[in-house]
Amino acid sequence: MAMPILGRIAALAALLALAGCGSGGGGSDSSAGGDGTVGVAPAFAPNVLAITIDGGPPGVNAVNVPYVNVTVCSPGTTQCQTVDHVLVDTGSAGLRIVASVLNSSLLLPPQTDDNGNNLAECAVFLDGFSWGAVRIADVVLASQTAGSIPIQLIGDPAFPTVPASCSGTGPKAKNTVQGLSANGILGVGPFLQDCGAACARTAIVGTYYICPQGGCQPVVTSLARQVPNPVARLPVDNNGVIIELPALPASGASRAIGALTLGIGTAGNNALGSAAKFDLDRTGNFRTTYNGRTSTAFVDSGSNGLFFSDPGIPTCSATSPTPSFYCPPATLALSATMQGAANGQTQGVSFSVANATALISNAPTFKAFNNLGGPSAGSTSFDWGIPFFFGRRIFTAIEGQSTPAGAGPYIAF
Amino acid sequence: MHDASKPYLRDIYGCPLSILLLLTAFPVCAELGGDAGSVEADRVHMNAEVRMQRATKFSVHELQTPGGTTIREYVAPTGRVFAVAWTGPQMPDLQQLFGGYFESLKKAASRKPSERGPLRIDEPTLVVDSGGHMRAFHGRAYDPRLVPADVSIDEIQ
Repeated sequence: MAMPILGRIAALAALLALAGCGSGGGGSDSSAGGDGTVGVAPAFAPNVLAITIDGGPPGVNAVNVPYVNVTVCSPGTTQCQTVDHVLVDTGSAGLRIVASVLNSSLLLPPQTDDNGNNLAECAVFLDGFSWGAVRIADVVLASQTAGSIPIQLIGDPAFPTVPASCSGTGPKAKNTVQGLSANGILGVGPFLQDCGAACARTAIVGTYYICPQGGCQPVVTSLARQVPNPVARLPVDNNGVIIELPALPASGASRAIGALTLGIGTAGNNALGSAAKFDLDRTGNFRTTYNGRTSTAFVDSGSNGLFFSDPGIPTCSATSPTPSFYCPPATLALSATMQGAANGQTQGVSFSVANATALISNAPTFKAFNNLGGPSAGSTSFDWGIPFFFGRRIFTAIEGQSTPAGAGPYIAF
Repeated sequence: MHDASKPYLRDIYGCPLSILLLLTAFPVCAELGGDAGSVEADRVHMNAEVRMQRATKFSVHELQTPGGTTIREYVAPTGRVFAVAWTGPQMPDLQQLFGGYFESLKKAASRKPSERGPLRIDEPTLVVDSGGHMRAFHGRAYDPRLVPADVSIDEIQ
């Protein structure tokens, strides 16, 4: 479906305006270059990583996926490798790197269970699973190091066979760069570990495994042995993160540049200021009311759209390039109300949903859009993905970690 | 009783060996499209909490996995499992829960571009909605051909 002519003119005008003035809206200094890049690299600080939304590693062609560089080192040594295009994900916890992107000379010792067996892990996502070893590494984020922490090495040849109870959790194997749309995932969500207390209490399929001769089996894994949110293991700036992305024109951008800042209220560059805080329940959710219906909601930088239920908005055709998104005939201006999990803060949020197929076909080289929406799974779930981050500075506080606004878990913006 | 063209449940002894070995960890073997007898067999074998609600239109068998995820199996008056739903901190083993429909799920998912959001499959013989995030998964699946005529899909939660 083609964008209406007026829409095209407006989009073009917006692009020209941005290119001309060199300054966009939002919380950061933004600019649009002639190549369609919006945003500028953040100033150097020991707790700031640059975020790039640029389509991902060669051949991946991802839309609205934010990436950072992460350095992993053999523990206690200067033997290190910087991995680019690691997805920043507030919807999970833990660092996962695809084994094939690491030099074979980088030695990362195995993590073991309480009985000395090498640990493997099945990380479960909505459309599939990632299988691989748990290994120990020093993880360097900006200038700070989380020393000797467990990470997952996806597709590690040390654990060649995916157990059936892992591959049964979803339809797709996400054990390669192409499968994952990234060289790794940096899970910086509100949890301290990926699994947490449940895996420390009992062996659960689709989580941690040991693989003695005769086959892999799930194993009880104490909190200290689980893959942690690496931010929580930094010596300072360890109570959460801020993701800041530039405001975008309605037609999108070929590339967007922002920042991942470590810590909340721990340094001059990460103060909460007047940000509104929404507390999260123990599952990491708060609430959002849209069209009179209240849903379970979460803010997820690993989701590339705003996913919510509105039977009045047509979904794109199954044969279109964007079958998982909405395709309204004209761009819709919508709003919803966020509410903290414990009946705290409420705030209205405006957003827009454009025709996803038109957006992508009108600008095939663009990789960042603030108006991509799609249907949720079920009618009572609201997933505030990357479009919500553009033009905002969004705080994610980690459970139990103290901040100037109280302990996490919460989100604020 | 079973339409030969549709996958149906094997009883507990008909489960593939790999699934039997997993019974203590995740003892669910009833399948979408199968019959209700296996739910009862599961309850005995797994020593798990199963609650059953009977309604005139269908009954719901609710199972709690060791990790705390709740699975609901919707059984039509014919005895056939026409829908399954889940909610909780871990994704259930969909291959066990879906039975023969798992291959349909894989096939349908492989035709879609890489997703970074909920997984939604809408085929004539299988509808799947899978959403949430690590520590909070939810979803449901049904075969539209098996849903009793007087049941609204909104009743599957």
